[in-house]
Amino acid sequence: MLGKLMKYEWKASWKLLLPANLVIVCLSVMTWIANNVAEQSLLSEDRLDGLLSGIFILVMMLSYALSVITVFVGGAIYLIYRFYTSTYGDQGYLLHTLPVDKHHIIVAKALVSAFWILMMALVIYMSAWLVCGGDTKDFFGEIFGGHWYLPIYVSEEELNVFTVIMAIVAAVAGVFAKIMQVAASISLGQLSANHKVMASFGFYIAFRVLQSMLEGMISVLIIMFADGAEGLLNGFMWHYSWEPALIIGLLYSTLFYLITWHVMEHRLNLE
Amino acid sequence: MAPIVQCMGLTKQYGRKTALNQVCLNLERGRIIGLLGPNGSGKTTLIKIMNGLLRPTAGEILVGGIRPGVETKAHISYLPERTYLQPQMKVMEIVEYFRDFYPDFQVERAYDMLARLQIQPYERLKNLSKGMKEKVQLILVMSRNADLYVLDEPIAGVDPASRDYILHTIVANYNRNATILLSTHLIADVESILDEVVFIRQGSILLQAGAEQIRRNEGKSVDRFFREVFAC
Repeated sequence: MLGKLMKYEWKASWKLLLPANLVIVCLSVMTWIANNVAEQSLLSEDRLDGLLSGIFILVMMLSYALSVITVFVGGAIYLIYRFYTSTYGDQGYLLHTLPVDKHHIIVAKALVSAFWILMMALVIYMSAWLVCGGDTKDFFGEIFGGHWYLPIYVSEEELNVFTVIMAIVAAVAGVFAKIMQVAASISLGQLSANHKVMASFGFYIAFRVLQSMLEGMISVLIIMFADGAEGLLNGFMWHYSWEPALIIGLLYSTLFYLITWHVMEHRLNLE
Repeated sequence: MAPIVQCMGLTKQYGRKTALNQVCLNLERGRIIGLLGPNGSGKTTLIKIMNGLLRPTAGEILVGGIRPGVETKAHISYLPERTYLQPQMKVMEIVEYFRDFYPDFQVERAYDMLARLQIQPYERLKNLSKGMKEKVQLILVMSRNADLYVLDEPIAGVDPASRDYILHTIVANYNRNATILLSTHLIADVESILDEVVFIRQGSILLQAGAEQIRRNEGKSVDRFFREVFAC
C-alpha cells in the first residue's frame, strides 16, 4: 500500500511543483543571459551606459533572488497545505477510511515532500551557481571539493568522499526532521477544539523554542569545558558538523514521527 | 452469527458537551437500518467512531467482532456527509484510486452507473455540480462488495428526483448479505426501504425496532411516529 499511497501523493504534487522548479531554471538562465549582455556594456567607455548596465544587473539579481525565494516558499507552503487538507481536512475522511496502516500514510507523505524540498534546494543551488558566474561544467566537482553542504560544514582536514557523503546524509536527515516537525505540529493542532491552524502554529513555535533551548544548553556545556579559542568556536559551531547534525536530525525525525503517528492512530479527531 | 456492529457503553464528549451517552447497540447482518434523529442528536458522531475517524471517550465499539482499524476499514464502505474527493481529479482517476485501495471494488459496476448518469470518465470533479459530485461519491461507495455500508445523510440537500435515484442506487447495488446503516432526518423519503430503525436523541438510543413492527404496533408510519417522538 505504501507504493500506491506514494503514487497518489506524487500525482497530487507534481503538477504544481515540477513547473515551480522549471520556473527557477528559466529565471536563472534568463538572468545569466541578461547579466552577460549587460556586463559587456559595463566595460564600455560611456559612463552613462556603464551606470545603466550596473543598475540593470542589480535589478535583475534582486528580481531573481526574490522570485526564487517566492517559488521556494510557495512550494513549501503548498506541501504544508496539501498535508493539512489531505490528512485533517475533508479529504482526510477518505484517507483515514482507507484500509492502510498509518505508518504507510506518514512515510508516503514524508518521502514525497522530502523529494520535492531536496529537488528545489538542488535546483536553487545549481541556479545560484549559474547566475553568480560559476562554471557549470565543474558543478559536481565543486560540490566534492567544497566545504558547505546545505547547513553542514566539513573542514579542510576532514575532507574526503566519506565525510562529504555523510554531510549530505546529515543534511537530508535535517530536511526529514523539519518535515516531521511540521507534520507533528499540524497533528497536535488538530486536537484543539477550535482554531486548529493557530494551534498548529503554536505547537511549531513551541517545538522551535524547545529545540533552541536544548541546542543552546549543549553549546553552553561545550564552552564551559572548552580549552581556548578553538573550543569556544566549537561551542558555537558544533551543530554544523555532520556527526551531531546527523544525530540531531535522526532524533528529531524519530520524535516528531512518533508524535504524528500517535495522533493519527490513537487521537484522530475529525470533528 | 454475531452482529456486524456492537456498541457497549459508547460515550463521546467534546469538551463538556456529551455527544454520545452510554450507547449500547447491536446491528444485525443483512438489514437496512435507519439511524434516525434530529440534527445534533449524535448520528454522525456514532458513524465517525464506527469508521475510526473519532475515538470514543469511554466504552467500546466492535465491527465484525474487532475494534475499528485497518481490517474493519476493508469491510466498511463509508459515505460521509461531505465531499471528500480531490476536486482536481478526473472521475476515471477517482475510480482507479478506489480500485487500487479496495480489493472489493467493482470497476464495471461503477462505470455502468456513471454511464447511466451520463458522467464522462475524463470529467474533472470540480466541473460537476454539487448534486453530481454527491452521486459520484455514492456510486463509488455502492460499487464495493462491503459487509457494512455506512451512509451519512445521503439524501440531505438534494432535490426529490435525485433522492429517488440515490435510494434506487442503494437498494439495487448493495451486497444482499451486508448491512446498510443509513443516517437521516428525512424519514418519509427512506421509510419504504428500511427493515429496522434506531431512534437517537441527545446521544442516547431511544428505540430500536423493526419498521413493520412500529407500523403494526403504533398504527402509523415510522415518519409519523418519529414526528410525535421528537416533537418540540
